[in-house]
Amino acid sequence: MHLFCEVNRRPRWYILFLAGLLASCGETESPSPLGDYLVRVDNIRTLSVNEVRTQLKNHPAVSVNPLLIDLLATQGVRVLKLTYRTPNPEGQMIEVSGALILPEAQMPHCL
Amino acid sequence: MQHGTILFESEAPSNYQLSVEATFFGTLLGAAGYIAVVPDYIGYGASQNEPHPYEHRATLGRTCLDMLRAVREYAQQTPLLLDNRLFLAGYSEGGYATMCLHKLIEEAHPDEFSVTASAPGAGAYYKTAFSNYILSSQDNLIFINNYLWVLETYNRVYGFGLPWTYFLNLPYASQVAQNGVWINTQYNPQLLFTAQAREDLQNGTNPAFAAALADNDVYDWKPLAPLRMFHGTDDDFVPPFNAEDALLAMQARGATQVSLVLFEGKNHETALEDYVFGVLDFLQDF
Repeated sequence: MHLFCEVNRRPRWYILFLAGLLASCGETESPSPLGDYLVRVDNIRTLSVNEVRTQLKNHPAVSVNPLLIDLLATQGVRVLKLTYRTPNPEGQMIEVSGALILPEAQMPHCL
Repeated sequence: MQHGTILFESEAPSNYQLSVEATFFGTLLGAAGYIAVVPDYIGYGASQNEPHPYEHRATLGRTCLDMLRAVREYAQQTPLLLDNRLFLAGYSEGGYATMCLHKLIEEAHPDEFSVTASAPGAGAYYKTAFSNYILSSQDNLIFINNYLWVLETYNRVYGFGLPWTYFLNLPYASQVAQNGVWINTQYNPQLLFTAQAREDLQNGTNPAFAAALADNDVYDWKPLAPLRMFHGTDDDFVPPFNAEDALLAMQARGATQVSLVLFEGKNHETALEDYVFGVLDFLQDF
């Protein structure tokens, strides 16, 4: 609601710009190659700071002082799957992947 | 952030299971304000149909480097804010991969990236000595399957094509050939490995395979950026001599910013929590 009110006070081009940004937060952000290495970017998950704290405190293998978790985990995260190119041991370029975990402050598209 | 040994596709970082240590650590780092880059490695995620080149220096380092390049490309196309600091960390196979990546960046790509600091934990950096340790051991070794995976990887990647009967006595050779390296097998190296393999791998009488092991050693080089290793003193999965010998070798080469933190009485599992917070503390220095 706060965001909506803010938008209503701005020119129409801003609304279109914002709509474009929100559309970019869909399941697949980038269907075509994006660079020499980067092939595509997919949204995996977004966790609020409370969800992060709860999940980290309930980890089955790493028992961490809950107060320490609260102290360190100060913001939510957004998890992206990056698909990129790299050579396999035989030297052939293949597509591989990995997780890019961004702090809340680094995800302006979806705020 | 490089992940440790995983056996199932579901554990790949891009599948985001918080039970995996690198995903846990990456999430904690993200929630603390860092951007965490966590490669799946070849064999998982988008490349799950490829065999994972387990503990192979060149491909682990390159796969991690190329993900950094991909993230940099992503940052050029989005409002992602990167500063110039680059921290490397990882535990177990991730510790080894971290050492591989740090070495690769500083020795081959210093014009592209500059490592601010790295913190490898419990990695098998000294492959040659670790192999000799295994093959000379009279005890049952809980990590024998991991060593079989290393042998299988190097045998394939370096194109030796040696049959399992070269490495293993019967019936273990045929069992591993049929069911893979993760079967319940003989855990005493003196009973599992053939006398020929033990002789060849320990004494270098198979010079090609000895060279392959040495090609994957990452303990003896001179890091320029601060490098702090972490290891449990009671680690019976990856013995601490891997880090202790690395420290001595790096210092002998004149490295002035290398250190080793030993967790007294901790093994491969129980040292993990100390490692996570040891790294976070280390990062505060930069």
